[in-house]
Amino acid sequence: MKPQIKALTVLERTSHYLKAGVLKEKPAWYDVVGAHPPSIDLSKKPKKIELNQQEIDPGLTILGDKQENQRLYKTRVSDSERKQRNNSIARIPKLKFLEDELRDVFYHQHPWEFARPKILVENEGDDISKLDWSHMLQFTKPLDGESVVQRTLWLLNQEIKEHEESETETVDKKSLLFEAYDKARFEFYRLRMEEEMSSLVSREESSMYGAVYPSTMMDWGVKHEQEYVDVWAKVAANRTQILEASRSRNVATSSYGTDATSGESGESVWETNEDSVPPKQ
Amino acid sequence: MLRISNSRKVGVSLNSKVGGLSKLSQRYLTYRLSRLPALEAIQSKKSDFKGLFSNKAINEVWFNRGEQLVDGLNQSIEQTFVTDGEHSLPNNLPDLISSTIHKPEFYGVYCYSTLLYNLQFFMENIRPSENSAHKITKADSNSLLASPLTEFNNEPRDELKKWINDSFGSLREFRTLLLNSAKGIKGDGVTWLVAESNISQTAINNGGTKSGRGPQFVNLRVVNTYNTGYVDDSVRSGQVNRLKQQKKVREASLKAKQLEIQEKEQQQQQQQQQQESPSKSEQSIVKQETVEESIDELTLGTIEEAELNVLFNDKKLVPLLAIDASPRTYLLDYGVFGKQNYLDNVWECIDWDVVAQRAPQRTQSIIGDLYL
Repeated sequence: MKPQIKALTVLERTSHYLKAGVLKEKPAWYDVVGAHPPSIDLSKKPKKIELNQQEIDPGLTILGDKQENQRLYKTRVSDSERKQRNNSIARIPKLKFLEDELRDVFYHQHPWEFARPKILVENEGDDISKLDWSHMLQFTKPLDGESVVQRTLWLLNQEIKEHEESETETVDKKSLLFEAYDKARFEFYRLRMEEEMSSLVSREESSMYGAVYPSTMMDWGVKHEQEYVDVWAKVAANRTQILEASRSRNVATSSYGTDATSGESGESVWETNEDSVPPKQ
Repeated sequence: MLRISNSRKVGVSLNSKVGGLSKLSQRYLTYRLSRLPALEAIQSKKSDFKGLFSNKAINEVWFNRGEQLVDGLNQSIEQTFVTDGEHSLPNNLPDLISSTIHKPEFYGVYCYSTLLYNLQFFMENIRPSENSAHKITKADSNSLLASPLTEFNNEPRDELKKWINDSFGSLREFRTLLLNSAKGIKGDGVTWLVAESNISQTAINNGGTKSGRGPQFVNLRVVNTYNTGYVDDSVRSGQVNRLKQQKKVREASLKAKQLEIQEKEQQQQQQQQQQESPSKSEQSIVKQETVEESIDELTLGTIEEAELNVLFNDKKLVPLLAIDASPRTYLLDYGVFGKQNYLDNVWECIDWDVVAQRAPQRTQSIIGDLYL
C-alpha cells in the first residue's frame, strides 16, 4: 500500500481546490490550520534497505559505544540508569526559618529555660499571631524564650524599616539581627529579674502577714502524685502476676509441641483491663 | 540610731509632768510633725513637688497623713502611759520604737511611731527634681506591659557611689534591685537601703565588741518592711530565737515521752520473758516508731530555716534611704497602673546628699580591697 501522507497535505490540497474553484467557500478550519500547521510528520516512511544508505541507529550515538566494530546493542537499562536522577523534586524540602535559628541560639545559651513548665495546648493553634510584639510582656503568654525570639524579629523589622526610610548606606542585616537579639535578650533579663523579685517579695510579704508554707511545691506535687502511684502499684503487681502466669503456661504448652506464639498471646498486654484479666482459653 | 535621731528633729513641745497636779491633768511628752523646709515652701506656694507629686498629692501624703499619725501617736501615748506615770518617755522616735517594740500593751504607740518614722524618713531623702523629662501623669493599662527603663540621671557621688558599686556590683544593678523590691510590694510597705554591721544589736547592747571598737559597716543591703515594719533585724531574729527555743522544748518533751515508753517496753519485755507472749512486743515497737517519726532528725531543714539563719542574723542595720511603695503614695498622681512610673520618678528625686550624711563610717573589708 502506498504510504498515506494525504492527511498532512490537506491544507495544500484545499487551497488548490479553492483556487481551481472546486470549493466555493473556505472550510471553517482553513484559517486555523493555516495559522497553526501540523508540525509533526506522523506518516510512516519505508526503511531504505540499500547498503550504507540507512540512518545511523540513534541508540549507538546516545549510549556512546566506543567500539564501533563490536556493534553490540544495549537492549535494557540498568537499575542505576532507571533511577530518577532529579530526585530533589520529589524530596520534601527542608523548612528553614530565622525563628528556629534564634530559638536554637537562645536555648543553647539558657538551657535552664527548658526546665520551666510550658502550656502547649491551644484552641486554634495561632495564639501567637494575636500577640503584639511592640512590647515583650503579653497578657496571654508567660515570659519565656519565645518572647525573646518574637521580640527580636519585631525589633529587626523595625530597624530594617527605619533604614529603608532614611535610605542611608547599605544595611548589614546580620549586625542588625545581632543588635536586635541582644536588645531583646537584655529586656528579657530585666523583666525576668522583676518577675522573680516580685514573687520573692510576695512570699516574704505574705509570710509577714502570717502565711505559713509547710511544704514546698515539689513536696506537694510528689505527695499528690503518690496517691495515684499507690493505686497503680497494686494494679501493676496484679497484672505482672497474670503476665508471668500466662508466660509460664505458654512455656508449658510449648513443651508439648504446640506453637508457642499462637494461642492467647495474641492478646496485647496493654489492652487487658482488670475485668478481662483472665486469659481466654 | 542616735545619729539619725539627731538629724530627725522630732519636736518635743511639752516636757515632763507638772508636779502637784492630779494624774488626769498630767501631761507627758507630745510629738509634733517636724517641719521639712522644702515641703513647707511647697505648701506656702501651693506648688507641685517637682518631678514626683502634685500639690494635692503632697498635701495628702505628707501634711494630712503626717498630722493624722501624730495625733494618733499622741492619743495612744496618753491612753497607754496614763496608767504608768513613772515611765520616762524617750524624746525621739527610734528610741520610742525600740522601747515599745516588744511590749504588746504599747501596740498602738509602736504602730503610729513606726509609720511616722518611715514616712518622715522617706520624705527627708527626696527633693524636687529639676529634670523635666519625668512627668507626673496617670498611666493607662498598657504601662503594665511596658519594659522597665534603663536610663537614669540621678546618681550618688564619691564615697557612697563607690560603696554602692562595691556592695551591689554597679549602680545599675543597685537601681534594678531597689526598684524591683519596691515594685514587688503588693500592699503597704517601704524599701530600704541599709548599712549592715558585722556584729549584732544584742552584742552592742551588751557592751560592744572584744576589741573595744564600735560596729563595723562593710556591706550595704536592700531590705523591705511591710505595714508598720521597722528596720531592726535584732527584733526579728529575737522572734526566731524564741521560736527555736519553743521547738527545743517541744523536742525535749517528745524525747522524755520516748524514754518513758522505752522504760515501759523494757518492763513489758521482762514480763514477756516470763509469759512469752509475742503480741505485746509488736505493739510497743509500733509505739516507739510513731514517736521517732515525730522527731525525724534525718530530714533536711526547710529553705525558710536556712534563710533565717543566714539573712536575719541579728545584725545591726542602719537605714540610709527609704522608698515608700505603698499605694497611697502613687494612686493620686499616677493611677492604679502607675507604680513603675512613680518609682522611676522617685529615683530621680532621691537626695543623695542626705543619704550620704546618714551613712555610717565605712569599713572596707580586706578581701574586698584585694578584689578591687
